[in-house]
Amino acid sequence: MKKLIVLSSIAFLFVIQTSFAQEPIRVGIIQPLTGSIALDGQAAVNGAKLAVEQINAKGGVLGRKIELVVEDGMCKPNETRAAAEKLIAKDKVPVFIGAFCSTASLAAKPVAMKYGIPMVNAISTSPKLLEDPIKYYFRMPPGERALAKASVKFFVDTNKVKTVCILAVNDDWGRNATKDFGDLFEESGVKILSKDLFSHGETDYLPFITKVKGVNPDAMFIVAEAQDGALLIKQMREQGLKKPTLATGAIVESHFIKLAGADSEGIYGGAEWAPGIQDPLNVAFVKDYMIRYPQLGTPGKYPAAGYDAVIIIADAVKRAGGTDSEKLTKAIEQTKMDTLHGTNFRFDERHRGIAYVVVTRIKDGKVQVIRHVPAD
Amino acid sequence: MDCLKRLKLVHWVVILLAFAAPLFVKSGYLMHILIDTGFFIILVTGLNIVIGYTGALSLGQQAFLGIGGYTSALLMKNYHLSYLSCLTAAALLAGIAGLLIGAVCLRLRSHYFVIVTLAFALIMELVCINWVDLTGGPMGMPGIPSPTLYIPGLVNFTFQTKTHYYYLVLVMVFIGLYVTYRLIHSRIGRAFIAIRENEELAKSMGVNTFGYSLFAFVISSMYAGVAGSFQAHYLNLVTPDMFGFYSMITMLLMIAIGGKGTISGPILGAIIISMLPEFLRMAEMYRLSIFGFLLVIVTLYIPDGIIYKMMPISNALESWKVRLWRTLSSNS
Amino acid sequence: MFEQFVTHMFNGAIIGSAYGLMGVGLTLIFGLMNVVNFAHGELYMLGAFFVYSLVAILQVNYFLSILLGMGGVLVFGGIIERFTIKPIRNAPILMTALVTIGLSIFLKNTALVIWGGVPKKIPNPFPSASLKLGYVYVTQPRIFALLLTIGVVILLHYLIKKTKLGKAMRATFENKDAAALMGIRVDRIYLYTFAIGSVVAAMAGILLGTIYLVYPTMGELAVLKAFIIVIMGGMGNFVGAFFSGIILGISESLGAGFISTGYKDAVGFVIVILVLLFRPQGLFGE
Repeated sequence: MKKLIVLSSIAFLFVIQTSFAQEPIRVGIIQPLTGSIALDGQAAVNGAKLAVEQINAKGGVLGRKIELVVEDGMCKPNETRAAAEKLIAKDKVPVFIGAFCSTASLAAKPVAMKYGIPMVNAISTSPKLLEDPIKYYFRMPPGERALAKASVKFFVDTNKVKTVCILAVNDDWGRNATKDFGDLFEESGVKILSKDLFSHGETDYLPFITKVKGVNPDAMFIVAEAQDGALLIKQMREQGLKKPTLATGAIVESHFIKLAGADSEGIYGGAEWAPGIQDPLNVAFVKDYMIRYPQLGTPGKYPAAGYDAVIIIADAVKRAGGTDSEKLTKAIEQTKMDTLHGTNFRFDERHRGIAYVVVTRIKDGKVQVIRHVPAD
Repeated sequence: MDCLKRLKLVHWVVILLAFAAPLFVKSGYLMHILIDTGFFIILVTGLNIVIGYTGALSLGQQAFLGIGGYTSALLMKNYHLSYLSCLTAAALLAGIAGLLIGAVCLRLRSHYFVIVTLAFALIMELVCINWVDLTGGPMGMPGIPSPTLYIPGLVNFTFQTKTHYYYLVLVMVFIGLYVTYRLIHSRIGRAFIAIRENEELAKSMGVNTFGYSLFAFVISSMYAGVAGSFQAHYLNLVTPDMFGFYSMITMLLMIAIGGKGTISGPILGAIIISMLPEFLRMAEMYRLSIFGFLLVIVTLYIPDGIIYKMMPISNALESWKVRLWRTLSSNS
Repeated sequence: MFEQFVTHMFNGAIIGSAYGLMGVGLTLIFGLMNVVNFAHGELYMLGAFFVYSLVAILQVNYFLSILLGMGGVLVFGGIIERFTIKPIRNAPILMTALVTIGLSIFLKNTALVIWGGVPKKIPNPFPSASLKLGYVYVTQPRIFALLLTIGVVILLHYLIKKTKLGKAMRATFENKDAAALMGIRVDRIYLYTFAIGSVVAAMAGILLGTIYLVYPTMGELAVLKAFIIVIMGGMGNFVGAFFSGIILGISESLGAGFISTGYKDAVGFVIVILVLLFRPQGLFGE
């Protein structure tokens, strides 16, 4: 008799426990966590984690908690593809976020297509990603052309620019931005005097700077991440090149300003996001981020991207009523919500995100948002 | 084929497991690792001919990997040639590159050889990144078609699933191993070893050390070309990363840990190193540090590679099998 | 046009002198000891990080930190030599290459874990304003680096040619066994040489870390250029390495300025291939 009571109470407890412990919603995320972009990859994950914690604190989605499964793609195609395979086959994620670098995302995309698992790309901007097939692929950033449309004419008119020199990092992003922004400059009646490329990790920019000084442009346009950009700007100012400068890349990140110091003063930027956007969602995000990660300082665009990816997915899961991949994909397609990257965020028929973009200027060591407009 | 007679029990078990693998491996992710391992086996078996058998440390293998991959990709994407043609072209072009680069590098002494092979590989990487019209630049070229087997009237087959790719790479691996086996157990192979042991002595005995070294280099580069072609059509993508130094480090680790100078060594190394990141995935940010540390420790303390530690086990199994055979046959 | 040319030459020479310092350290280790040290870039990186930690975190005086940082790498280099290089001194080159590549990966990634991937600035007492000489601009850290490099080259040249230690080193590297028979403590010589080579690398890292930034992968490109310079200079020739550094710096500058910027790094690789083909003893070798 006693045995029966003990057994049935254990069984009862078991049943109670399992009925409360519902299956969590696993969301995969692939980012570069090692290597030279580790910091930015980690930042994206931090933003995603913040969103997950906030959502779970409010009870999760459909009564289930979100569980973030993090993988290191190293921004390398082979590793990223393996990470995607692992997330889908082993961890059985119904959706994943990734993979930061366009090259890595290109390698993960076929995996998503093959298994029919939706992939939400928060940061990559290459137009090649929007080539067919795109059924299960969604690209949040609007692309360089949108950034250019918002920032170039404004920069040209404000600074009365007639000629410009372009200096970009020698990768796909740098080349795309050179083309897109370059087209916009020409549309605004500006003559492009030179287009130069540098390797990521370059330390000696003097040859480029000397070349640029030789043609004496009215302004500069730069495509670079924090490390390269900081060195470039510092050396430009050291060499007496103080023309008005438009940039894209890590120019909204606080670590760029920290590195470049006073030399970053006055630089204009076109970006997907900046921490100074004055709407309630963004203000709350910046505050919460700095409370959650006090040692990291003001969030930049990568944490914002990670955060938005999670809330978009959570919203889609709610509307899909579950994690069935087909329903989830349809639900993501029909996304229409307010995110950090813009009110009324949605995906167009090419699964490209329709968001807002910002034009910024660095003043007194802080990023100032000058324009906040819808991308088109 | 007398090589079959030379295979020990251990080898047969591995071969059997290899062929039967798709039957019990159901996880797509694990299959991906097995395919990746196969790819690396081809790559390091080739490299080992230069490093393990002729004793020359080439740091340029990734250049031929990239050349093979891009050649195959470009031919299929732009000219719609059959896969077999693309594969052959990839191997040939990689071989020609190996001939040209080897002819230059092999004139130099060992230390310089190391650096100049690296220099060539780095130049190729820069060319790949900058020659955007040809290679698609830093982004590479996505949308590379999968391999097809087309015999008019008989077969029209596209390699689609992991299992298809697995068997494709398995066939390539076995062909590659067989070629290496024949090479090593021939007069050419003996010349290689003579060069490795004492190049001056070999030269004084009339061995054309330059010619044989070059031959080894070319063969090795062709292996890399084949591997590159496979990867291009497996990932359906080629990127300048193929020319990068990261894969070179992986190859060196495989050869060092597995054991150079034998055929099985690199295979063992490839299997261990391919599986390793999966175990290390938990260690996340320490993963690469552990990689480096392992390389140092293994080089210092297990310089001949783990394969040599395996020999006693393999031999024990072999003698057990022989005794079993004898008992069984004597009982009939 | 002429202005451009002169500016390129001047800038190239200044940066080239810093390259030269990297080459000089490797000359000791690769040129004289024949150790293919792929971890050389990481010794360079560690020097920079030690000084960064001392100055930025522990608030030690900049110049004192340089001395302490160099001391730290001196010890570190000695430990590396003792535990990882010495055991394979007579082993084939593949072993040394593998060990140093392994060390390089280990040090690079451990530095990434310890200090993080964000590049750091070394706070320094040099004013940030640049000096204008005619139409070229130069900053004080660069002048400081140039002077220090010249000083080190002279010091090392004197050490090798005129001191007893230098004589012992030359004897050891020419014929290890004969030197041992003559009573020279060969083990000690190897240890000192490697340690000194490491310290010179660290100094290059500290100077370039001051001019630019400090980050865990800063040694990658540096080590390649160092190998190129050692070969160009003629293995074992310090003065040759110094001038080769300057030639490389100027060539890169002119190449990037007048030809193409994307292939800037290829300049060095092409040069080393040409040198090895047509003048393998180096531009300055005997």
